Amino acid sequence: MGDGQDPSNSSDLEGMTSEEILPIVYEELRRIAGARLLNESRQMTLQATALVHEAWLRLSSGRDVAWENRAHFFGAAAQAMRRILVEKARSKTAAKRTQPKADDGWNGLSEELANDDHILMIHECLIRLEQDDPALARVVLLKFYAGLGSREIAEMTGSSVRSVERQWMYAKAKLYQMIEADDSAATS
Amino acid sequence: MKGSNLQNEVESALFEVALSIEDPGALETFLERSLGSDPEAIGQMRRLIESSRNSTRYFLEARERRADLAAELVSNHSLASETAPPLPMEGPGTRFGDYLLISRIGEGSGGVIYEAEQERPIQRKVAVKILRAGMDTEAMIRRFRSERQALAMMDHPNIARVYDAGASSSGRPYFVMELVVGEKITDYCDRHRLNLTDRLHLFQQVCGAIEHAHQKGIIHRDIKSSNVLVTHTGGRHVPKVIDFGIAKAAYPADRDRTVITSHDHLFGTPAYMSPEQIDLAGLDVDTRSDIYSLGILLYSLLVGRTPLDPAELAQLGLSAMRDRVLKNQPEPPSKTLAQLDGAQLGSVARSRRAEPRNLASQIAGDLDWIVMKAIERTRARRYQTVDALAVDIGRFLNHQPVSARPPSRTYLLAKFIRRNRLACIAGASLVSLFIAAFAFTATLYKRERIALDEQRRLKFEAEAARREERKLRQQSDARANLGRVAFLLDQGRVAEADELWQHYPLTSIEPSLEAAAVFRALGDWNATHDRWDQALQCFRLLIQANRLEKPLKILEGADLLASGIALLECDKPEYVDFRNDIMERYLPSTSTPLGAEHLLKVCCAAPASDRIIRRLSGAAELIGDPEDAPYPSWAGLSLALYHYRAGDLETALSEAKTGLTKDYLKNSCAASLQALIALCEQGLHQPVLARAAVDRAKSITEESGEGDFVHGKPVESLWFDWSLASYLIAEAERELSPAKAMIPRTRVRSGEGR
Repeated sequence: MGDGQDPSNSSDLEGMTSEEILPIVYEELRRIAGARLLNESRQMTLQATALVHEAWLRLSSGRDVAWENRAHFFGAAAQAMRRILVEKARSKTAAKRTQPKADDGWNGLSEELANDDHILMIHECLIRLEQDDPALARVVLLKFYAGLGSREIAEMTGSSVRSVERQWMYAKAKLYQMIEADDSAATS
Repeated sequence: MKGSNLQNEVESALFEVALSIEDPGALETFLERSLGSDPEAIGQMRRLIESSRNSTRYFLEARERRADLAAELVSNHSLASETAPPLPMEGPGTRFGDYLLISRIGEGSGGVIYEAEQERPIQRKVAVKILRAGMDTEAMIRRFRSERQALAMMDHPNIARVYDAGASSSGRPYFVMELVVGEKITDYCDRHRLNLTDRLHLFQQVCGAIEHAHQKGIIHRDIKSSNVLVTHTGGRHVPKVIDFGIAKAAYPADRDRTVITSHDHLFGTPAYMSPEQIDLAGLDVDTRSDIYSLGILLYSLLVGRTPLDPAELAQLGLSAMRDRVLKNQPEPPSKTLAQLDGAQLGSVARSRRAEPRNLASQIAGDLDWIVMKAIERTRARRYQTVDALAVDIGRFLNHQPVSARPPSRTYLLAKFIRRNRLACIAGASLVSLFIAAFAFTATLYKRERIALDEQRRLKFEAEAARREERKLRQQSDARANLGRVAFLLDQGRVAEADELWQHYPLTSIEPSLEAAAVFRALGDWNATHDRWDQALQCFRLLIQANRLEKPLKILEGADLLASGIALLECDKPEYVDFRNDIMERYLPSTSTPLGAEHLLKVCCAAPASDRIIRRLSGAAELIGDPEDAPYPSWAGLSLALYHYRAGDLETALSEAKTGLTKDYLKNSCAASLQALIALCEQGLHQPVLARAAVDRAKSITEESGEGDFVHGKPVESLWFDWSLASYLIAEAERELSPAKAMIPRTRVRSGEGR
């Protein structure tokens, strides 16, 4: 991928922190999303994590980007994706709450609310996990929002593939327990 | 926080191991050993394991939600502040690297396939598969390169080579493969109207290819009809397996990405995927997943359908689909055939050059067993190597018994022992008999060893694999040697057998399903020859090995009875533990009258507490009217035993008497029933009637001598049927003796001369 690079452009992502990269990624994600709608065929399923990888291809193509920047990028992209999804889920939930009549005759409402809850619940429980065990939470962030594989995450975090897979299984079970506890607290 | 992280690290490590343990008993042992001092921690770990199952589903649903939201984001025009230029698409005429795309030849899961021309370093036609965009191309190419060494070692006429991988100018990953112009195997077979035999021969070639790959340490992961192309060359049907190595590169073995990628599209064809591939519950995919997919392929070659309808699966969301695959109880192929309507059946039969009437009967039995063993849900119960599957197909084609048959004393092993015993008396040479009965197992062991030797030469699967290999080889050596022990015993060379037995104690074989047959054969031989210590050893191990088997198979087989009676025969207090264990283990699965009859007989052979009687009441109800049971007289005996142990003497007596009137009453069963009648009459203060009954029981036993009879005709004699009778007769004698003094149990049937 590094062949034929243009040295004048290679500083775009170099030396930037995740926080600095975040807005760039966010903007790129929106641009790709728009382009997809206009150009790709209908049957091409569009997925959040595919967007992230495509953003990476675009931002890094033709440039020799250092590995640590890649880690920065995916960390930022994951946060950006998380933010976008949570905003969208929240706005949908709010819209449903303020206009209950508009959905008359459509009885999937409560189900729909519960569905968006998946994204919101994971988001909220992840905040708690971030305080309790940041390393574990980072694996969830990279897996769930950036769609990275264990191998890539292992290379970024300097741990073994096996340990990343273990953390992911463990984190999912932990998060699910929190979500379940929240759920039963909310309904009782 | 550091402390908590460390604790999480330890906890997550324990969690990982716990998840990988499939057997519930082993899991409990593991939790107790690792967390023994802390019951609260054990509870937490159990809850976490429970959560893990649900969390997989929850996160799958979350992915679906994520995809929905992303789709909505895209359809929201206001988001697109400006549009990015579209990525260019490849097509015929596109050139990249050394390849020029010529024409599109197909579209498969995950990508489009082109015929292409390679220009350098050699000029040749190749196939190029371009995968969908949006994957992590770089990581994928890196994975492919690391796998390429292993892939290059595959050299098999039925495997299409994979040459290269790269990225197109737009970042789409592609694979370059040997160009195979063929038709997918199921279509090919139908178009050429291949009959079952030809199809099985073709399938064996496919097995050979997969076995070759497995020996090189490569798992295909996506075996299905469209990945096996067949060409007709030189008057022969030649299958080629394509796409080797692509699944692993494109979708690495991350536990959560095995089949459902992070990009939310499904890799592979769910109809062909093994439960562990789709379960995502933390089991690694291994060669046995390929065996499952081969089983599905065989299924569809036989009856033209897969157990699950791919079109129906495609309608479902990811989590619903996962549920469907995990919960599905596939029907045997012949049953599926029976459910087709006339027109469908006609067309399936026509394309197999068979009469609709005959097709099902050709498949029912051995082929059903073979397929069902290959697609067992639990992989420990499948064929453990592709070779074992291929050998069974070969045996079917040669009209020999197959290994997939459920354990049955009449089908294979008892026959062998009986045949050999007769041969012994006649003084005939036993060598040929030995070969007949054990050649199959021996061939398996030999081939397994060759396969393992081959594997040993390959260094890429490190230490763990080698240890496993060593263990397997020792295991098959030990099993082979114990097979030899059985042979020596049958030749009457008891001293030699015992010496060999010293070197290979039974405990050197792990209780596996493969070993169960050896334990069963040796246990039966020793029991028949009154070598009870040795017999007990065998049955103890058989009990352990059987824990891996399906409960229903055990309940409907004779192993429970043999093991239980062997324990009783030796007056072992162990019987009580055994009884508790089997009630715990099998009572919940007792769903058929035959299973209930067996369980009741074993559990009520000896006096039982009220609690046990209460727990068995459901099983007694399940038997219902003995007349409707598969073996009415034995069902009568089971019920009579149950009521006698429950203290309901009148009912017991009437059941026992009715049992005597049933057709197909074996002498051994009649002796047991008479002994039981004696016990009931004695309890009802009818000593004269009791004495008469016990005498009848004894005379039936004596008259029968070596064998067993129904209405005077000789039938198969099973040692445990007679052991049960002699046990009950001894009990009756004790109850009838004036002082009810402890009479030591004397064997009614002597073991001499047997």
